[in-house]
Amino acid sequence: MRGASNLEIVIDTAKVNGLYEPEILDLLEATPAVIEKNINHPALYIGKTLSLADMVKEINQALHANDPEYYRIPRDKALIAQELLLFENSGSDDLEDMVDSQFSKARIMVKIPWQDAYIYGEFLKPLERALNEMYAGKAQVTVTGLSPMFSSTLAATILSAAQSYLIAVVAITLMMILLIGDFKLGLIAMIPNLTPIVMALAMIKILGMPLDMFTMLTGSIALGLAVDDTIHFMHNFRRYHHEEGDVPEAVRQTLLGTGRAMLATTIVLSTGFFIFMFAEMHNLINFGLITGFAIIMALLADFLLAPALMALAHPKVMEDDGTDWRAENGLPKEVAQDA
Amino acid sequence: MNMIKTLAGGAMVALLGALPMAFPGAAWADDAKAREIMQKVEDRDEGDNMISEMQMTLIDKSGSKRIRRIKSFTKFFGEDRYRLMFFLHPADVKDTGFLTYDYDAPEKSDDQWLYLPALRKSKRIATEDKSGSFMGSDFTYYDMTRRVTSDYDYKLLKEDTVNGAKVWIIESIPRRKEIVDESGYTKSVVFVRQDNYMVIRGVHWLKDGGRLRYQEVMDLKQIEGIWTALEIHMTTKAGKVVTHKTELKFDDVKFNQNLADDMFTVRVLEKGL
Repeated sequence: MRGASNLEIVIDTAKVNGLYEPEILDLLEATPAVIEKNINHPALYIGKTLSLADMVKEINQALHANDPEYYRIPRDKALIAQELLLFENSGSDDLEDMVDSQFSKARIMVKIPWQDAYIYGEFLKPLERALNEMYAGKAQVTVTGLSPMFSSTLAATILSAAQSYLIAVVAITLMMILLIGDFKLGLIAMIPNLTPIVMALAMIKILGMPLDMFTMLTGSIALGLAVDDTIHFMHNFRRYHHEEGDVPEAVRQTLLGTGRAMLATTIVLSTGFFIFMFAEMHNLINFGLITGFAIIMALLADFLLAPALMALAHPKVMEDDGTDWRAENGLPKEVAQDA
Repeated sequence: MNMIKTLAGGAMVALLGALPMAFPGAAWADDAKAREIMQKVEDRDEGDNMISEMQMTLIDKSGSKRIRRIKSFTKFFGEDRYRLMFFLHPADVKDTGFLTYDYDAPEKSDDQWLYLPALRKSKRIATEDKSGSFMGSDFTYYDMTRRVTSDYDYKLLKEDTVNGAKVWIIESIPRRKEIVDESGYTKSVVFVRQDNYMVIRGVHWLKDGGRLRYQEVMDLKQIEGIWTALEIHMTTKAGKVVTHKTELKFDDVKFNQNLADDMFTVRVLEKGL
């Protein structure tokens, strides 16, 4: 059959028995060639096609002593009608698959290879336009089927995933700013939040995984878990920093306290997702691998990146740190700052 | 003595009562009363020959209708039924004809010829499968022929009243798998009128797809002394959803018209009447 997926072309004549017209059947017969011409991609080709035209040709041949010369569409509308009546009367249900009961709409089945849905995306609109030009004034053409459906579903999903990522980033940024109570720190805290997502997406690309419904899902799950880690880190860091006024000490206390809990949850959560790697389905395996990876990246970002960012964000405090040290030695604060 | 008799009688009753339990479902799958009724249905007088004009309305699940009119001639040759049909409407298929020999002998498969006026030629067509649709309707070829009682086990389910007429409700189950394949039905329940042995209602379980067919006689009249169903509806349902419906109406029904034997030949099919 050459092709595990399919294109479905619906030809609507909007007339009862409109499909008895030889001209319409000629167009049905010529349609696969037009589709072939409009799908030019190295990975794509047209497999088996089937339409009412093929059935009429077969019936016509059968009625003419199986003479291959009669494997063609009769020119007489009444003969087409009678041949189809005969076929309907033979007890076969095959006709039901190709036409509606009013003989006004026909379906053309086209087998096509199972390819990444987005490859088809760019061909479908021009194809539909070309077919409508071909049937202009006679019928309305709609291109549908498994691949077009996946293609438009995927396009819609990617768009909506991108939108929700954007909304989530904006909302989480605002909440981080509110939670930390500092505009600049809130923005900085978003860096360890987003790093694991970027790394996970990079991983998808490096491993050559398809961007499908499952792998797309990892982003939002990883974002939620990364934010969880970051909130714990930032909250505790702020508190210790407020108490100690010293970045290294605040980081040390944060990591010793809540850091252990973060490590434990990360191990549990990532193990939980890695278990999906024992699955039979490829997209579940990918999903588990990427989500587990993103969770570990989120922890590493909070353990390694966040402290460094906090150190960079508090340069004054580091000098204060020196001041305090001098103050402990009985030197006035102003002196130290001037120095 | 008297007591001995009573005791023996009691023992006999107990024994007889226990017998059916000893052989559940063996000889008792069929019940004699139901079989007798169905035999009378099969033997009912249908006339030696019949002329009618049949209007067939095909209604699909969206409710759109297609109407066909067919002139039909039937004649019995012994137990074999010969039928000649010509389409009157729609115009595209007018004069398209069918000639069918429906043999009573179960081992003999039916003969069917078709005439296409646009080709001016007749063709013999294979009719192995009687479970196929009759002219694209919800009726099968099998529905259009008489059932042979020896193919079925019958069971009288109960008696009831339909539109004021007393009926027997009888379940029929094909005895062999071949009958299921031939008819397309795994089971049927029919309502037989007690006064005239006409089947006025039927439910048929389709072999494929878990669907059911509901048959209902809407108009029943006595014509020249022969009870005739003048309007029959057949509805195919999947669950509660109607997937297709056919309404058959018969007009100008005439019996015993002295139809010539050579009317039921390919020559007449090709030349018309």
